[in-house]
Amino acid sequence: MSINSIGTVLRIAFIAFGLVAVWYLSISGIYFLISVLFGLKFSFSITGLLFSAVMFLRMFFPKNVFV
Amino acid sequence: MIFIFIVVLCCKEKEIEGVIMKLKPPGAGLPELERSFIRFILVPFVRVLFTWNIGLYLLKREVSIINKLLINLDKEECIKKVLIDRTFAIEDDTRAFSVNLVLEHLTIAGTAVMGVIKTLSNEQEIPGEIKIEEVKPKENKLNQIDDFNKFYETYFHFIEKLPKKHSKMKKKHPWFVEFNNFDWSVFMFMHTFIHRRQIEAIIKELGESK
Repeated sequence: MSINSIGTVLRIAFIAFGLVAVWYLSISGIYFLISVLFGLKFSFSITGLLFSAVMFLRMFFPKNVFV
Repeated sequence: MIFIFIVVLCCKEKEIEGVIMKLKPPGAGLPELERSFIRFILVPFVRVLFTWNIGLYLLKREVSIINKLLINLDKEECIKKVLIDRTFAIEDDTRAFSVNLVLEHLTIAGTAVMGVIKTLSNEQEIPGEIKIEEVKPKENKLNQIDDFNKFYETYFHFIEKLPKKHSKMKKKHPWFVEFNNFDWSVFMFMHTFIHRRQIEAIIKELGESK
């Protein structure tokens, strides 16, 4: 594998991590707003749960990503 | 001394020509490991993490990077073919491309993909198979960058106006799986990104051969 190829794969991984962070922060932000608006307790473990749930949902909606 | 230098240069050119002759033909495809990585890992990841707008934003960023890369290249350098190591997800024959041949390929393939997205968005079937050989560049024109930028402006406008709805109709990419209109729009980013890396490799090689 050439250095350029390794660089490309690393950049793909970097974009993937960046997008995971964008999704996590967006979901956490919405959850934070809701918790402030409705006076709910904010918990980081719940942000993780919500993030996993959204990612799981996106695997099958709007389409099955494995097909 | 000058004579020896010329002889060495000629030998090097002959050597490059020899390697070019040995490259696999257009349409030969990707190595199995790369193809499987893209098909079974990258495609599902991309479908989960991308949206229409993320794909469009990243594509605009790629086009901007390509334009910045070409600022310091003169027109002659843009049409000079050089041999590079294989870069990720490109066919063997494209190792001997010039910068303008890459831009031409991006324009031809992009125009074809835009047609596919338009047809799939109308839930219409696309007859026949998509062939990689049909989107290979041929002209190596001096002012290819103008066509390239003109096409991408049209494409951005097209995607911005397109209703963001996943089509039920699909069209298979020759190397991977069946893509719907959304998959093809994200493919446009991945494809441009892969070829931007190829342009970087060509520019590096041009710099070393000076």
